[in-house]
Amino acid sequence: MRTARRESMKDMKISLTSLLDLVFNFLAFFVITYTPPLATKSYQVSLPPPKVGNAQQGVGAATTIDSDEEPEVFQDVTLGLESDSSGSLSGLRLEGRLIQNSNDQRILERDLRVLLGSFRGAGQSLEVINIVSPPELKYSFLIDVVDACQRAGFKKINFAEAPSSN
Amino acid sequence: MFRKTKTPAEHDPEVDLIPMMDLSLNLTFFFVVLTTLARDEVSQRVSLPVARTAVLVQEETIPDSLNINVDHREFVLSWGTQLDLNSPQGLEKLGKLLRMEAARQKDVQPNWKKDGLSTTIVLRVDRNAHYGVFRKVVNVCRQNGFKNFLLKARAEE
Repeated sequence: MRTARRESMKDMKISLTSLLDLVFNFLAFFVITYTPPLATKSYQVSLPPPKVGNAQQGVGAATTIDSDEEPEVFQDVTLGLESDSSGSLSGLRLEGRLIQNSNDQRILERDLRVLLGSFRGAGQSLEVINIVSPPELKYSFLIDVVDACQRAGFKKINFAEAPSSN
Repeated sequence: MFRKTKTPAEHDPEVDLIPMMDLSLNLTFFFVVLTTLARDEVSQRVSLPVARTAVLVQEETIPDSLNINVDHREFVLSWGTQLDLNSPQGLEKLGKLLRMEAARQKDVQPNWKKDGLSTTIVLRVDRNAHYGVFRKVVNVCRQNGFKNFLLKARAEE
């Protein structure tokens, strides 16, 4: 009897097939659903809460990128953005003067550099740029302009909303 | 003719499944660990704009953050819900949710009156959303006491 039991123990095998099926199913699920994380970068923005009595947040309300806690007075320029009906950038006005009627970032960057250079040449510091954008402009164009301003050397960027052209 | 007789081992060929099992389980473990289904509430439906001057911000350096995703339809995809930012109801609901979040943060931040809320709003706005919508979200956040923002952009293509 003891011999028979030992024999049956010797022949006992665990079937791994079902376990393997399960593992492969899990593996397939995770391989299919896995999306590698997108490399993202950020603009750190400090936007103080609106003051009481200045509840109107529409036209002219300014927000600041990389602002310091203490308000400082800098000479500033205003960059007006224009958009067409599809929300694309159709024109740029620096201090009201049309500087380009396309959305070529390189031209904008070059013009901004020239502007900064002329101010520095005159011994003045120009660090703040106010971007006035219509609400219908697409966000990607705004980021393009912010990108160009930062590359040109502006340290502070204010956002303001222009009245809708529609 | 000489006929070769088979040895008992040749009669029962067996595949050793143990290394394959090890590998499979290791791979499964790898994907389980890497799959962060709801951890950062990052919606894959938001196509971020590309920015060259944006900087890499380590998540660890932000003490507390709140993700707000705005997709191309101009819907907020956060808190497990979808809010239409072009409807007054959607905007009102967003304000209500942010008020609740702000109240929660004020409970755990004793110095909020002096320093403001330290919570960072991580804004992921779709490249095709409009500037007006971006401003609406920012203004609602500001009205509820949030002052720190991270505007997410894609690294250069």
